[in-house]
Amino acid sequence: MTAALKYEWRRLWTIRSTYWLIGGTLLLQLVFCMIAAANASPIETIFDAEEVVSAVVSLGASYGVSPLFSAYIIGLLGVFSFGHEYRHGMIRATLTAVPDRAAVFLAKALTTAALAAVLALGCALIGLLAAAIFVDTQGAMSSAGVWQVILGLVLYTTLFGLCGMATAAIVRNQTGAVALMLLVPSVIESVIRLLLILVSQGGSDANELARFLPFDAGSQMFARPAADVITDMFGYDPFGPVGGGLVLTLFAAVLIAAAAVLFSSRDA
Amino acid sequence: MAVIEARSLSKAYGGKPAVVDLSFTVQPGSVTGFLGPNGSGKSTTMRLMLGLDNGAGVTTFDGTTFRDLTAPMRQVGALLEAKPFHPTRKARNHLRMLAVANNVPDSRVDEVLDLVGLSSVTTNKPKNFSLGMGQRLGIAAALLGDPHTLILDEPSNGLDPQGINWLRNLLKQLASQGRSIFVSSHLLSEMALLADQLVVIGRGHLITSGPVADFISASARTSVIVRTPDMTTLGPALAGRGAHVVTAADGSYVVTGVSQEQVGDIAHEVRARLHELVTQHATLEEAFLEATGMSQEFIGYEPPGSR
Repeated sequence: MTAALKYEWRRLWTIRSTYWLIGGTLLLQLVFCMIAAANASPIETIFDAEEVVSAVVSLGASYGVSPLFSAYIIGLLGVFSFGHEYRHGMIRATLTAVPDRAAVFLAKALTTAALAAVLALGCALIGLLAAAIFVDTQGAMSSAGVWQVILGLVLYTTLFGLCGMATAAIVRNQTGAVALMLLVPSVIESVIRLLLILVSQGGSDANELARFLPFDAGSQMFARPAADVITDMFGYDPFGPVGGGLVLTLFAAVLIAAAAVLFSSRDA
Repeated sequence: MAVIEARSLSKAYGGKPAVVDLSFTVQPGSVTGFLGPNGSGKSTTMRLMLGLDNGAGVTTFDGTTFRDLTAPMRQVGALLEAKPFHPTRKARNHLRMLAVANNVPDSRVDEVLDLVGLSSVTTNKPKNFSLGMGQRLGIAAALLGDPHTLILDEPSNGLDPQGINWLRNLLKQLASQGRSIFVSSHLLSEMALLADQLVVIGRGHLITSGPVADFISASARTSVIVRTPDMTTLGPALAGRGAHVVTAADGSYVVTGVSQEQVGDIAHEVRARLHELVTQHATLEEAFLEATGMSQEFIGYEPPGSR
């Protein structure tokens, strides 16, 4: 297992994309958060300080007005963990260096999860920094509400990265996995939700299924005031942070399990 | 030093058998050539041996399967077809990554880069490498752990004549140190110079295995050239022993199915005069074409008049 971890760690840090993705994520987060915080004063009159700080830290994702952009970039690191193996035939070199497939898979999962969590936390701290500079935080920086949002962001990004890794391991095609990770959470789930609502107009409860859309459910871990809005708009009650988090966790677990089984049974 | 034992290797892709019940042994201290026509299952066999493909059968290296080896690259070095490296990971970093998983010191990375002649491009990206340089990087990876066993799939691919010569001498030297070397190639002239032992397959089946010399002498293409004024008496006597006689253009006779000694003895019995009696060995290529003639996967079309 240590051999697999050492291999994966060195694999990660000897490739340019790792640096680009991490540097790019942190830089964009810094620029975006500064702009958002510097222009937050109009909403400070409507929302309380805790909500404003959460919105700055999550770049609007806590209000559901934008997807959690950092998760999408960090998720690419998860995709690349297996995508690079299959895009360039590296998997054969990897498995002749570390033939224990379970160890290879576990090492990739642990590395992806750890990196995603640390980066997501880093992004949140950048958001807090921006808020501290521009926003009248009134002590919200250390409030339980803000830190619950941050915990949600970190968990969501970690699960997102793991889903990216599992997707790449299943489809064994980097481009396909990138496309899926960009499309499924943001586009395909929205379309499915719309279809469910349309179907439910005939009097069925199909719209109730929309709460199980995994990435939408997972976003409840950091989305705050939207529950009653969603109920009004779509006619169903979303899960709360815990329930939504469990739905995404379960989805990720199934995806990872499928990927692990396929990885150990398929030809390299 | 390790004995490679492949037992009953089998693999089918989508119901089409690629390798069928293939067993052979590779002994230390020798270069064992792995021959077969295109699509005969050589690469599949090597992937099965390394556990990269899931199939039936088992391959052991001194009793242990590849998957159960600890620090496998220190025991079995492998070079497989295609270029298994990331195009923008520098050559030295690629090898350091493999090294760290096998407890090979980083200093060994520069040693093998030097050994394969890539010491001037250690910080270059493989995407700019020629086919031959890529192949050298693959060979460097195989040698990284100073393994007692090497499994090399078409290692001379893309190498220039000097490179092929270098590789041949390197493999012979490694074999003379007592290592087990299993190497596939479609270059028969190269194999004739390199290998001591052969494993020949066709359509996934074992055709023969054993010393190169035995393979060649067993070939029907190995014949005895006879020059005699008394073929009228010698001919029927030879035919009676199961030999086949063909008249050559220069008036000599090409006899197959019996040895040089047998021809001499038969001539003595029937009091036929012999002006010349010599064995003409088949080349490895002739022996190979004969052995695998019926088991080609892909048969090309020969334009009329090409013979």
